[in-house]
Amino acid sequence: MAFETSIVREARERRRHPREAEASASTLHHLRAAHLLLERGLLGAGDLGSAIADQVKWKSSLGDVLIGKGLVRPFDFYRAVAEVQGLRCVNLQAEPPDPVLIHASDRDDYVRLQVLPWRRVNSRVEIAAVDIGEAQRGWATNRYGPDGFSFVITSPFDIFWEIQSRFRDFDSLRAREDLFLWKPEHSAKVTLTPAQKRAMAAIAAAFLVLLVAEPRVTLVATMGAVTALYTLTFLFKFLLTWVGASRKVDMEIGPEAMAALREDDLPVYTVLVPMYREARVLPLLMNALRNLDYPASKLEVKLVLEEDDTETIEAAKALAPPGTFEIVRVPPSYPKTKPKACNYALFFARGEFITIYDAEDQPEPDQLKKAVAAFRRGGDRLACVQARLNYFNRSENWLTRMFTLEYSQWFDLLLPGLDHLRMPIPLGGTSNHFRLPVLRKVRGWDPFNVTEDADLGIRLAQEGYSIGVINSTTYEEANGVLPSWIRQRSRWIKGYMQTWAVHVRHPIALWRSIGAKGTFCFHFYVGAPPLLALINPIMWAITIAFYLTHNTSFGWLFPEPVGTLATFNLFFANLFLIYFGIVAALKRRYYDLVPAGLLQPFYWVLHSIAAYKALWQLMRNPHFWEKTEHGTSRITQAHLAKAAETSR
Amino acid sequence: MNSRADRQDARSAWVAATAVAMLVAVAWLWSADTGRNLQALAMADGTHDGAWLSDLVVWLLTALPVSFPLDTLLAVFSAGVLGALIAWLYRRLIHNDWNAAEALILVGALACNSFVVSAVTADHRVIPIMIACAAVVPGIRRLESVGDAQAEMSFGLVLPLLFLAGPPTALLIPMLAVFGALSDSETRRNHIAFVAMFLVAIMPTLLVLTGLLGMLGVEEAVRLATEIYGPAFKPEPLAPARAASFLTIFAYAVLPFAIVFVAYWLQRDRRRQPWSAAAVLALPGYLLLGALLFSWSMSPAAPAAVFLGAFASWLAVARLTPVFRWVTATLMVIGALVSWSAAVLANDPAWNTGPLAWIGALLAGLSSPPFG
Repeated sequence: MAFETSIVREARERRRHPREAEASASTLHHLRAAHLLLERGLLGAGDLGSAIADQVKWKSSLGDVLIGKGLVRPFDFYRAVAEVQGLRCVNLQAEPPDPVLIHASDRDDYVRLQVLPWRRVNSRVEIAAVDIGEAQRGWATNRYGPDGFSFVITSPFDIFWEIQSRFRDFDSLRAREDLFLWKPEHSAKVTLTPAQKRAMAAIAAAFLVLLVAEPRVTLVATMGAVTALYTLTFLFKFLLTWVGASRKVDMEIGPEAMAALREDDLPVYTVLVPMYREARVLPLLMNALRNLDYPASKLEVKLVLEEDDTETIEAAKALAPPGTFEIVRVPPSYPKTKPKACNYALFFARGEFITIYDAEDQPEPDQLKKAVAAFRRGGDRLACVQARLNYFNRSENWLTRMFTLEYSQWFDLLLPGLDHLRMPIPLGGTSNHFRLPVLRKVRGWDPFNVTEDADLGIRLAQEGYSIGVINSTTYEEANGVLPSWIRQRSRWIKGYMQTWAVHVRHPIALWRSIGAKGTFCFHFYVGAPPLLALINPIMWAITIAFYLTHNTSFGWLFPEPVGTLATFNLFFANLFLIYFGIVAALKRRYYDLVPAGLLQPFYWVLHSIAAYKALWQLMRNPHFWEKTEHGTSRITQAHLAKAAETSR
Repeated sequence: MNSRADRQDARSAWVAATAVAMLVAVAWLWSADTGRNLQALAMADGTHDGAWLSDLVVWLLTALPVSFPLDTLLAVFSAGVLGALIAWLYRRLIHNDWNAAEALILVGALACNSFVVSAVTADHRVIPIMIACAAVVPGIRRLESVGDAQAEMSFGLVLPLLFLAGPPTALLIPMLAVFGALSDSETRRNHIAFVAMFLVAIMPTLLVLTGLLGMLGVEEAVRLATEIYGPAFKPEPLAPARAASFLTIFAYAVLPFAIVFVAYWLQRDRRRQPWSAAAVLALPGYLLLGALLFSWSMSPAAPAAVFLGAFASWLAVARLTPVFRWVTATLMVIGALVSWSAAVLANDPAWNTGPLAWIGALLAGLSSPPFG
């Protein structure tokens, strides 16, 4: 085998340099272990050949390649490694570590180095490790002294399983409380602080007093403020749409940038897939993840499942994913939210970058590579890149058409517009890619915020980081069932209300951290839309009453220039908002959606219904996570049937 | 371009602009014509004759809390706007590789062209048409050269200007919307794509129409539309003498520039954008034809003024070779000289008084008066 010869030659070459000797030893151990598996019939010769070819191309360890491609079982491989090294191989589930040796302060090291103190034998600590390299030896020397330890071999899965078991409650607590302990003012654990409640009560009281004392002046002033809010929001959307419609604002990662990426230079990438009771869409997820154009040995996939969701856990196991897929079981605790689950999984991530996909997501295959290229181009302050989201079932019904138009406008026009104007970007639900250290530094997602993604975008901006939008799309399933849509949308609107309430607690600090432009964006992109969705029905009622009755007796509400502005909003701004949706369809080249775009005002009515539900829930149950049901689309059903047929 | 060079460019642009603006302001004040124009503006109904922009400016200026005479304010305002436009054009020319001398000659000749001076100071009806046509040309060019969603959007957004400029240009909207829709290769193969593109191009105009309908009320809107559009498209050929004025001015002031466009179309350059170049000639040509057939309410100099606006707008966005630049600048200088004879022909009493008439007579004496 030519490739094998080249590996051996390379390993021998590296032996001449002391620092590389260890790496070469590991390479040879892996190669011998693979031969053992070949001899025992646990690995095919062709598979080994292709794995060696990929190992040369990707510059990963042979073990990672074999496991990542699903060619061997991890435990089989590491047992063989132990054999060739003359070390003991332990199954940590059968022979669990001594709990006295395990320390919470070392927990992150255990994950990073994939080690776990196992037993104490004759005053030496036996450390279970996946690989024994300089880093592991250094850590062990610091911890137990030069002669105080020895190694045994285990599989990554065993280490992972043990850490999950040992630190279950500790990690669960951190997932819930880390952000609150770090910066309580940025946490939505408390929706309104006592000071905010007092301020709101004072404003309401002042309004009532004014309403009684000077009803006309108060109502005219209120109407003026609302009209100005509408106008400014429209102008802001106009600006963003205009800027975002340009091809040049797209953070294009072109073919040259992609060609310049070398697979041997790609970092380990962690993919989180939080799921809850979504066993039936798992086969589609597996396909989508397998289709990702990224070295399998450098991909670390975490299926983040709730402990009590045994159905999905069993379904995931039944699909027998490659060894790089791990099931993170999130212990039950309040709040039961996706961000809490992701925070929990974050403690197990080892990639340089990390991203999140939903169960039904179909990311474009080159998305991870594009994100890496964007990060390399963007500099250290670029903490996150957001891929575009869109829907694969747009033509299913009216609701999916409207939803697709809205997403096209959001991800193809408005977010690139914000990006180009260097304003804070409220992230979308999935396909946001982060630098893992930065995400950890800001304590991950707010587990109490039901639009934790939008909130994280604002927090990153406040910490001085930037966010980019890349030209890669993840296709999702549009929610085409009205009750489910209302539930999902009410959660989103509630989350925006939470986010606004949280970050407006210290307005001057907000201003200082994100500047005047950022503050304007925050208020008009995050704060204004839920408020306007609540006000809209009142304005529609006034308009309809006027046109039906021709009663001008409330004309005093609109003195000049309020009257002209209100008329402008009614006739021009609203019509242009429809137009922006149509432009978004055009940019996406969804020509079939252009005529449907004319019906957007009916969609706005649904927004208002969801907004009132959101407001009610914000007062009654702010942290409740309205679960979105996936897999209802006919297209998803067809894909599932096809996947089932293929697997047979 | 670095920031220092940028600053230098900006400074020289503003020097040029200020000089031109002052020239126009002085010309305006000395011509003693402002009183007549103000009177005309007060008498005119901007909704009907297309001078709504002038009405709007007068309304805004009268609302200012200052005690200057209105004619002075108008003069300063007109000169200021023209100066700013000239400055912007100068900057764009420099951006498009013109050197300072070429750019100064061109903007100077343009500002001194009697059709421009006349449009700014006396022919308030042509200004909205000039603005609309000048805005359409870069819109078409962006469609040709970039063709992204922003190009489609900006093209669609300039079309309502043609509606607001009056009936003559409103007729262009559906034709241009079809053109805009056909600009993308996909729309020529896919009829749904064509309909979508057509809608994106025409929708802003429809939105403005709907908005006006909502603001004015259906009854008033229909009455106005009948009053304005009814006569505009009733065939009524111009009297031969007046038609001759239109044709003569067009022949002398516009046709010589055709050489630039013919040469531009024939050159082999991948950055050549033929349709926007064609629009520069087609738009005034269309106005001329309409004026001849329908007796549209416009001065004989209007198509020439519209041409100059569209041409300047095209120069602001097109990249030309050095030979083209020198030919263009030379033609612009010749055009400016010839225009002063044309102004005399326009038979406007304003040109018979004050220093403008003197300059006109002087220039007419230097060049043989082509229009008798």
